[in-house]
Amino acid sequence: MKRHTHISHLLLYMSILICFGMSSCKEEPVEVTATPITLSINNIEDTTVTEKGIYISTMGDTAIATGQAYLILSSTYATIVIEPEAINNTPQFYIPPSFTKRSGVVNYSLYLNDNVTQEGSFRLLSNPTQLGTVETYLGPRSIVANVRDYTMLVSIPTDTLDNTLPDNTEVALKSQFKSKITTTSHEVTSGFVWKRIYAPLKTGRVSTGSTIENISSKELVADVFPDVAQDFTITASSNHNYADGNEIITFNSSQIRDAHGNVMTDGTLVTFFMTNATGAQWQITASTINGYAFAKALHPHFPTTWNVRAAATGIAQSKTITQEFTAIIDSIPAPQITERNLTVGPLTSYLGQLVQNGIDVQVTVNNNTYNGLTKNGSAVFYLKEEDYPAGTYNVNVETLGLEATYKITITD
Amino acid sequence: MKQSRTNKYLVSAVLLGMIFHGTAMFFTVERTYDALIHLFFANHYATNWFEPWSYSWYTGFTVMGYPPLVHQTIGALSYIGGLKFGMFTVALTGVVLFITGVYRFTMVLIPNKKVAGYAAVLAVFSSSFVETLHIFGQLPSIIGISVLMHCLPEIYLWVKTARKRHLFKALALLSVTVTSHHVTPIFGMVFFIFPLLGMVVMDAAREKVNSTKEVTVIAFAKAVWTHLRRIIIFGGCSLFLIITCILPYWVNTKNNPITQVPIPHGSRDSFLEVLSSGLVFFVIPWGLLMFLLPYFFYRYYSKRLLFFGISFTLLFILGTGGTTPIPLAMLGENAFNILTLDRFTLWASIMALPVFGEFCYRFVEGDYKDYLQEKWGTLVHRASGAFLSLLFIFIAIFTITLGKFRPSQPDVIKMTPIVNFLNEDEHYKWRYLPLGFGDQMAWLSAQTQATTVDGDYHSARRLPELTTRAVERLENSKYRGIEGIGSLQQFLTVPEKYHLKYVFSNDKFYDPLLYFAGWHRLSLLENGIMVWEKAGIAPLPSVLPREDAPLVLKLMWGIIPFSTVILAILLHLGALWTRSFNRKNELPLYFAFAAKYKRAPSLLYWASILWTIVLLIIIAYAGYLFYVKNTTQLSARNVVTAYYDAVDFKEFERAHSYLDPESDKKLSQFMLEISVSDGLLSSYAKLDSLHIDITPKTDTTAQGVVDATWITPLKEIQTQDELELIKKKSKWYIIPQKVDPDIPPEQLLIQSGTRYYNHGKRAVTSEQTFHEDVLKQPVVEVLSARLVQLDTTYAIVGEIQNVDNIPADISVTGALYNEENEELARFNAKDVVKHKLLPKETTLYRINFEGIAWASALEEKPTTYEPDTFTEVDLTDIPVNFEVQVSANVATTDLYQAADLFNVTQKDTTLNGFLFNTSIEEATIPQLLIGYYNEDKELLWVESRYIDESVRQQRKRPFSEVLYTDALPTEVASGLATASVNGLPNQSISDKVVPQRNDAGTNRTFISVAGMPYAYITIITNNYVGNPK
Repeated sequence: MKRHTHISHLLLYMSILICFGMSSCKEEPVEVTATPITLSINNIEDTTVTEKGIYISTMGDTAIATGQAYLILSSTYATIVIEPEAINNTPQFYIPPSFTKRSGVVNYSLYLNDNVTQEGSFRLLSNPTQLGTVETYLGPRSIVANVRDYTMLVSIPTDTLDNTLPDNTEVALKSQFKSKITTTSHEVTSGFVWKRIYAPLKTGRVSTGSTIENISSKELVADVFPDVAQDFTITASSNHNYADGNEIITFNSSQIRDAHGNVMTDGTLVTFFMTNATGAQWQITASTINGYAFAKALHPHFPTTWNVRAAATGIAQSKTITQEFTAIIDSIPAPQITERNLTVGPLTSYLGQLVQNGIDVQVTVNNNTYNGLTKNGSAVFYLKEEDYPAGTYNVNVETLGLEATYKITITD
Repeated sequence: MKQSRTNKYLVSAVLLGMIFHGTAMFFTVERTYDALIHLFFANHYATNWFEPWSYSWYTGFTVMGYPPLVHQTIGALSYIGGLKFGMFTVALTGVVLFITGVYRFTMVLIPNKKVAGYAAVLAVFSSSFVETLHIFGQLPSIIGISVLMHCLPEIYLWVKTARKRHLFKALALLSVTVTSHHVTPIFGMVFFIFPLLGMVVMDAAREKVNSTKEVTVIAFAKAVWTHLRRIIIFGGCSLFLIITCILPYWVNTKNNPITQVPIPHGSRDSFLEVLSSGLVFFVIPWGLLMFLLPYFFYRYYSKRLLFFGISFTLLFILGTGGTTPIPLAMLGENAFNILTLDRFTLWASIMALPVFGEFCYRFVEGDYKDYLQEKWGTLVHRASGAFLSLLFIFIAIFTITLGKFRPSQPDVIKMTPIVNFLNEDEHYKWRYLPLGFGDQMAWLSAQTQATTVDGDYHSARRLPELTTRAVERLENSKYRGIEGIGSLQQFLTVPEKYHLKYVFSNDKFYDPLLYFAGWHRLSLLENGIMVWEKAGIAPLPSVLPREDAPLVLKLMWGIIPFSTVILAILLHLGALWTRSFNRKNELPLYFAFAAKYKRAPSLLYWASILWTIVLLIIIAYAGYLFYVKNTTQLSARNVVTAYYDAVDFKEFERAHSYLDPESDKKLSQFMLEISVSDGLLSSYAKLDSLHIDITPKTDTTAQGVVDATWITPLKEIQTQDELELIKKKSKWYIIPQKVDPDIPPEQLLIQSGTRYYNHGKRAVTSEQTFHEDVLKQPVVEVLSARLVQLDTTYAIVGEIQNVDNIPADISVTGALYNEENEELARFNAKDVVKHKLLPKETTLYRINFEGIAWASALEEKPTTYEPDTFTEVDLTDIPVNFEVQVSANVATTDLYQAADLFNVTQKDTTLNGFLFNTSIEEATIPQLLIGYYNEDKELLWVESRYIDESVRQQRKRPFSEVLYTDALPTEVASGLATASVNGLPNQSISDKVVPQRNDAGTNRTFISVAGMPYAYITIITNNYVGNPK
């Protein structure tokens, strides 16, 4: 019995469902019951942008049901749909301020009962009498003092509602360099004006700005940097020219300038190259200050002659100068051996003083080479018993560019 | 007999636990490995409860990879008193749950309230628990196992009585376990619940017969049959809970299978080989329990507890990690490499607590007391009791303070300056990378909305650059050799790919790598963290990719965990309510199976004594070995090892104490010598291996040849030192070596120079950049570019000059194309380029094409560390064309020219010469970029060489570099048609800026070499100034 009720309920629900389904399946034509109306608008005149919105009056019927008539407006800013509102018993279309604030072409279409009845377009014009700001852009912000380089000034004047001004509006573009101020007048094209400012041939700073009537832009500046360097000369200065490995020699360049006499910017890198007859190479970098580059180098610890040349890679270089370093010692004193300690020295310098600490001394005993450094004028080498049993050995000593061979005898 | 039913042991255990752990945790938990990670997750839930996606780490990951209960609880509590309040509250709850859990667990196993009370007291000082909480900070694991222990009595009662309320309570508790920790219930099933079920059935079988002896296999089988339905119901329900409670976790695991390669973990080491792992993962957690192993096995292999015996044995063996091959064989390769095996030892030691409690009870007031007092006398018994308890507490205290003696984490970093830095000037719009932060990086992530490419939960990684490396975190990559540094340097070389702009360095080890990869120092924050920046990185897009989870899963993840807790509490409150009205002082059912304590068989006594002796011998021998190996001046070898160790850890006073006291090298002289030595080897190297060869000469003198390998972020350095050793008064000493006597030429250096500062024209406003604030990108020119091939490797080499009048920071990108002009690979020049160029400065560059290392599992990984090797990209086609893009930004720092080349000569295959520093800054790490040219002066290869030691002001640093000797690569393509600078064609720059380029300087740069596969070389110096004045 209970089950029966269940089944009958189920059947009932199902039949209801099916009925609904059937009815919704059927496509019955919807009766259009729109009453024909007459409504038209006058051609909308071009007008300046406004913050207040624009009313468009209509002609024709005065009683219009909701949805029967609407106006579609389309501009670069947006597309909007507006319905007429009754003002003094006449329907009027009100274009909101958000739309009328933006200049440009507006296309409109009037729809009556979903059919286009009237189409047209009008222009919202920017307002050159209500000037707002002049936006300017300048770039690149640094240029080089030569005939190839320039920077460009772009100016975009706008009205108070931020619309670009119409073509042919006059804008003054100004630039200043040193004592010269250039003002040129340009007509707005497509909303903006632009001008190339060619690089002056002197370093400095170009200031730019633009004005329209009493409205002024910000100041924008471009730095004028020197052009590529021209060849220069170098000189050397040192306290003495002994090859003692313990003195700083300074090479300085002449003031490095470009073809127009502009001094290189500080920090420009100049590399000094030194070579000698044996092909050994020195390479010292220096950055310029006020166009001068100072390269410091340590005197070599052996007599030699440097060919020195400086260059800014690929751009400019100096002539080669030579710098000679003379020996501080004539001969190497015979090494002494005490308790397996082989002492080379004391080595003396050009005044007879002890050579500086840290001079390289190389000794070769039995084809074994040892490198040592001087301390208090001498370099000491320990000859191990296991390597050098008592006996006589040839010792080759190399230091300060000299070479000598001596015999030593190790006793225990 | 109407007594208070409160167990005073339990009450005192809980109070003691709260005092002991509650006080200590404020000094320990924040320095643990894991606690701050949980804090990070908690912060995620606190800010966005239902959101499974976190952008903070790994360029985005899902938090559904870890059960959320503990994190959500901390997150919820953070609304009351902040994140750390939440963490400490949860930790304290964990302590209480653990102690009461042990109590309830013991009651089931050994139904004796006093024994359970003893076990609860012992649980307070259990060294494995102390370690898990105070060293590892594994809060979810602790909550999980504690709740599981609470669950066990209910399971017992359900199977025994079939009362549904026990089933519900058991299942409620089990779901709390599941939602707090995923591994615990799965293995808990195997190691805790299965033996418990066995025990219930055993008890049931025992009821049917008169004595324990009569419980035969047949009787047991019968009992199984009668209880099978309940067991199956429980098993089915719990399986259902494990799956549904954290269903999102399982779904996530299936969708994002863990692709991470195994990351080495100490618990998988062989404890005999890696003693520190043995200490942390075996000796400490077992502690005093080691001595009682015979008793544990004796008790657990009694008939009632037989299944626990099996489980205990398994846990014990699994906990031994890689010491024996058994755990690997049992778990299989996969599980062995994913699981951390320390948890098995934790569970084993927890399982030992009930029997340990029983032993202590019997020792203090039970039958053993009588037995031992009879045998040893009262005094010895009491003294040994006092000694054992003191030792037990000492081990606990030792463990809790281990983090203090052997810090596993860097010192606490104040995060506020970093958080402020990220907030100011919209720095959070780029990704950052912390280096040397340890697990504190999680705490930083919890405090900032800025995101990082790194992270601290490696199972959740997605970037193949990370998942293919066995690296825990990038931030500590130096501990992982090439895999670590290799991963890190890829991120640092191509940071634009990840929008990575800021690096917070808490470890100066990484500084040279950062510098030579083109990064520069921005500022030193007040907490001592150095901020490094890379110029020209685009900010993160405002919409980042994310993987969304279905709404159902999100809701489940957010709602279920908390509901399980509420449900469990309600059920237990109900039980409490009914129990408080239940006047009958009814004991739980299992009390019928209490053991009767008679004297133990003497076999156990002797076995225990023997075991104790064996252990003592092992300890004594280990102690002896420790003494011999670590007593620094016992042998010549020891003193050399100790000296290098001291130098490595910069403990110079200790290093000096190993030098011959009669030499003229006093400490002040030694320190002076140290203070003037700097450079890659002295300041940025970590000792990797040491090979000492000692040749005894006489009884008191010896000669040592020490070959040391040092790891630096840039290269591996091999050093060989010959040391003379001397023994004086039974101590060995090192005879100090001579120092460089070089004296600079001048006393006072005067130098003028050009310095730069870039502040744009920025107004104090958070508004985005104004037009007048933008600096022009410096104009640089690519002078040459050539795609070369060496075997199967391709590289782009060439020269770049900054032709502008302002310094440039360049980033050079190369791309390879095939015949169809399809891009094959793209990478940046790493350190074989000078990134910061003065006006008109020229650099050589080489771009290698790196792939993601070991992306395929079959590739063989290098066994040794070679920081300068890299994995070549796997090219799908033959490159025939290439492209070079340079982007330049204004550089203002690191433009210092501090090392110049002097007297460079070629001798056979070596290039000899010295660097001389004419400046007033110390060149900490000089770099030589060597270009190799053919007869036609075409550049074919570029190499980078680092000089190991620094060049001090007006000092010389001789170098002797072995030149490239292999055949030069062959040219595939060359030309500048495809080169571009700042997005403009290189040719237009070249025409405009230096139209009449000449050979000024270029001819002089060439150093002609003889007898080599190339005709000329050029050298460009670069240097890292570690401490700019």
